[in-house]
Amino acid sequence: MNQDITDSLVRTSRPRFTGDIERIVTHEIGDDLTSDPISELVAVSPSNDVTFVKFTSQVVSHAASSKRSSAYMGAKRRDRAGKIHGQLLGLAEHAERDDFEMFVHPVVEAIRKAIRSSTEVETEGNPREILRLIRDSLLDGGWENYRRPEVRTAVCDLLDVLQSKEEVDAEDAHQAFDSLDEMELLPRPPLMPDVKEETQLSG
Amino acid sequence: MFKEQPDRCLVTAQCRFAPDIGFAPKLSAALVCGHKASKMPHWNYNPQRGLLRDPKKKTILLADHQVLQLQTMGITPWLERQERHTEVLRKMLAEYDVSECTMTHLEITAFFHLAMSHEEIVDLFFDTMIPTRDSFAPLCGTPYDAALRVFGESGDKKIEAEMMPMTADQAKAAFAGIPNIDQFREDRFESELVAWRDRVAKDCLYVKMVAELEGVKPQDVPRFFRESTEELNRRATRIVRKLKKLPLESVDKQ
Repeated sequence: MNQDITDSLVRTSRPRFTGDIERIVTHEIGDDLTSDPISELVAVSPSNDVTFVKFTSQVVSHAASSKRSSAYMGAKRRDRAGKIHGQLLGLAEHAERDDFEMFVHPVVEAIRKAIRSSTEVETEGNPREILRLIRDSLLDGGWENYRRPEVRTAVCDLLDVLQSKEEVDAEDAHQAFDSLDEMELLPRPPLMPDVKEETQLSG
Repeated sequence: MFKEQPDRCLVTAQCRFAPDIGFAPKLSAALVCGHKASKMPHWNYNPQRGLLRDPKKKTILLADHQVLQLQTMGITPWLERQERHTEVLRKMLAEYDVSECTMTHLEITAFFHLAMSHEEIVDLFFDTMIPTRDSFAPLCGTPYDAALRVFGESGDKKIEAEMMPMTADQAKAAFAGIPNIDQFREDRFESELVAWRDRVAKDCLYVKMVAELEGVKPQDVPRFFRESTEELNRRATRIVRKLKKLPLESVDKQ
């Protein structure tokens, strides 16, 4: 955070008072895109004159924007997929435990982070879709399925695609859907009541 | 990988041999032989050193009392005429009466454009080629760049691999610093060299691969260069795939 008092107030038409305070808050976005609050306590001494406190917030996005080529994001995706793959394999030793979901939670978080980190990269849409499918298969009690080794193996195969390809195409995403759907790992949407039929009944 | 980006590679093939006090007539005889066999149109000669040049095919050949060195700008002039080039070297070694080379050396330098910024390449370089940034912090503060040079053995051959993320300016300077690069100029405006320099001058991964073998007989020189070219190409492909976190097994299947 840059705490230097600049002379920007001098250039304005507003008269500058002795006690005016100016602060520049610089938010530098790193390559990991994590959010961190920046706070500063400014003591304003009591005075008879009006005291202007001017905060200028400046977002420096260079670091984030310069690390955004699709080739780079592809490499990062392969790296993350590899780590998730390892985490999934690690579930095997906890598969019999009652608190199995506690061990699944970090996997879900890792998948969420991987999705978030590639949100703005157009070329990573298909990998994101595969990760979303895997994430969805883990939610709402879906983790119970992951006690079965054949499920873990099938999902690891999907992660292999993310790990081994320079570009993941739509066909890979479709195959991932089919594979998870075939094993009944995807959550089913609740059935909508047949409005027409209900109307007839009530009438 | 060299074959995928042929216009960003430079090749140096070298045969070293024991010097002989009576080298002067042998040198000129070897140059005459090399000139005929290679059909390179331009030559330059002084009693210590001879040079054959074919700027259009981006090839030069240098000879002195203990080295024969063939250089090409781009890997295509090397691959397309490899048999002829190595045969020229073999014939010239015969003119020198060399029974065994003290060292045969193949060096392929590449400025691989990976469609990534220098910053990105550096970021991937840590944790793929070398340990993470954090582990270097006690040694040099926050690392922002890195280079790696590894020496190894493959059978009888010695292999050297040097890799370094480069900014456009660094690549430009490294290209200008390549030995004998000015000999490739085609005309007084050096348009070809300028085009090369501009092509190379991008954020890139600089890779220098070297294969060396001692005691190669002249008749085995073509085989050494043929096998080493393939091997270095395979290893360079692995370097790039490793940096991009792609599996290496597919390279071995090729």
